[in-house]
Amino acid sequence: MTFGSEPFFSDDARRRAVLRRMIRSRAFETALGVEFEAQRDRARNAIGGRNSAFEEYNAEYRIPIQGNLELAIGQEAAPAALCEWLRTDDYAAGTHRSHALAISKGVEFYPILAEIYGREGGLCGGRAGDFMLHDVDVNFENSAIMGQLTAVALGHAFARKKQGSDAVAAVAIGDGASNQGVVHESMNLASLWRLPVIYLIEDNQYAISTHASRSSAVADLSRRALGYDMPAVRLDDRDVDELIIRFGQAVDRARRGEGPSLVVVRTRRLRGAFEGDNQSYRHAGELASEEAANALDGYERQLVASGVVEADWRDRITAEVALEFKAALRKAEASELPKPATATEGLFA
Amino acid sequence: MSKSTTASTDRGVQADPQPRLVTLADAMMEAIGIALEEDPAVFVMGEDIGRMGGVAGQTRGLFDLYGGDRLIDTPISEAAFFGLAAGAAQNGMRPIVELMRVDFIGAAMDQVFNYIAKVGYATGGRRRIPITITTQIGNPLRQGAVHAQVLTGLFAHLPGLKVVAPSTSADAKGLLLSAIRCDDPVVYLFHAGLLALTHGPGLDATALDVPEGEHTVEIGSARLVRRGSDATLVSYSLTVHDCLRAAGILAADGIECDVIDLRSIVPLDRELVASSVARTGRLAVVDEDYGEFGVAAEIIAGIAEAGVNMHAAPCRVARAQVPVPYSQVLDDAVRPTPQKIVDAVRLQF
Repeated sequence: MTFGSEPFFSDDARRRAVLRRMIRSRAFETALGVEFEAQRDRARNAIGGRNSAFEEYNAEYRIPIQGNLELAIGQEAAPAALCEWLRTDDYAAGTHRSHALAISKGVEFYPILAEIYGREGGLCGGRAGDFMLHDVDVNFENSAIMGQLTAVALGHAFARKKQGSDAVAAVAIGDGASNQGVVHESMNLASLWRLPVIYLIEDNQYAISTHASRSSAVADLSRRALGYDMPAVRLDDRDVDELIIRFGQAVDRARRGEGPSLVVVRTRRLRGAFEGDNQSYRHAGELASEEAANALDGYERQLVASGVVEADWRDRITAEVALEFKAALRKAEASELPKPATATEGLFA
Repeated sequence: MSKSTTASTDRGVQADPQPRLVTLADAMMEAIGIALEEDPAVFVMGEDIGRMGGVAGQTRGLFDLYGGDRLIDTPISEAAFFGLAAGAAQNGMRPIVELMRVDFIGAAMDQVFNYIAKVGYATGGRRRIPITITTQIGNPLRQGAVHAQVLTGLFAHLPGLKVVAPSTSADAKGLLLSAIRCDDPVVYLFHAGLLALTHGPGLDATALDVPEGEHTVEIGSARLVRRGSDATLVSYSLTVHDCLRAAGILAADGIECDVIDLRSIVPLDRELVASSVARTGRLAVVDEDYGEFGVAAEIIAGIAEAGVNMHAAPCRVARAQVPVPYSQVLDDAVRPTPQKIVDAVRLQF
């Protein structure tokens, strides 16, 4: 089964747009990581330099960033390339590590940050947090339950098809979640009913500490699609141009009513599974080689070398995004906390 | 939504010369038919609910009228199609999703418990999931541990799901139509032992009469089925009939019972229960679900917290805390029966 027949291409405008999204995602995540570390250090110092998760998070020294922060640094390319082809009315669902997809889909910095801060101005008024982000305006959500939204994405695709729209549903999972039963139920149903779904497996080789070789019976996860008669490709995000072309084909196939596709992208998780994870499970030198191979640096070099962007382009955009982040963070810090009395409200419509 | 007109509790009411007798399965079918007719966004999805008309006959005939786009047979993939329904419901559709037996909830549990039940609250109402989950409960065929359960307490315990369970055909129709029109997820538990029901012991004519066409029952309103002064029996679904049998036996001894059919477990009509117990001073809650940590415990705790003055300690008549055994004599030993209800009430005197 061929993946896509249309001659999709990546012109310079697309390349710039994708690189810009990657830079924005990286800058956001980097700044958030820096802020988190600073907050953690302040809390640690406040309790006499000891390092205890319990003390960090206890009531007295609670830091403004709640929850477990799972940064997508290194995994910017696939979401950026996918979203090059998605419209606002297309649905996109992310994982526990989904800020790059959120930002690429068009979610603003402030409501994400305010949600992470548990504030009224957050995407969900501080009720959902980083693991259940919902942006109804740009049709984005994520879930920290592995594979869960592969089923929900079916419904977004199903409704769009029923309603005569050519909008599509894209859902990202990791290599670890690809072993969940629901993923396979979803792929079977999407293919059986030719639903407009694009499955993205972000294969960073790790489910927290468990390497893919100890998780999946096949190394090439695109082979999973064979069982569902679904076209699939396996890519490496070091070739961003190829990502752009292949996502273009997958989205086009879905829009034309030809059914779902699977795009497996080998990517690189350059931070821990969560902030504070020291990645001791990686073998010596592994992280350094992953960093050296990371898509953003490589694609920037490529586009500078080919004259698509100027040498200082990334720095200029990074500086812009840093300012944007700072303003959004200030606004989030200043935003109202939800009123405690509202905690029991709104269970039902 | 209007309150049911079947709330008459006067046992002196003369039988309507010709009540419209409809089986519970047909009553469900009527409600689904009305919903399909009035709202193109409504569809039914599940295993064998299309061509076959449902293993319980609850959608019989509708496939011929509305076709496979509205009555959608699914593969055995509960996680996928429950997620699909949740996604579709966020895009203006109103799915009625069938879980063939309540015992199969394990296969769909993450979608129902961690997504469908939570999204409305967690998004602060930015999203709502108007889906009706219809599922068969109970054990008339004595099918053993995994085709026999009731599990009301499981759904009721988790915030975010409304839970209803009719005991009569009229309520089966009225509650189902209300559930489909409700903007929240509603779990609709229908008892296999009631599917052929038209008559029930002690049911007055108004309860037997199933109005033709439009008929709704407010979700959250219990019904006083029989009025007495000495003890209150509270139940729902099939065991309401067991309560009525028991009340008949007790009446011969001069013990007159209030019998309350909860109809809706979530929300719970605590007021009707409390006002009855305040009058009778005695309470037995009859539940075919497992007795511990369940609906009966919740009702008794509510009465205790309300400080209702009692003549005797209240009691549960519920399933013993073991899986449902297969052999009929074993099952009878651990499930509520009219005789056990009679014995429990007599102990309170």
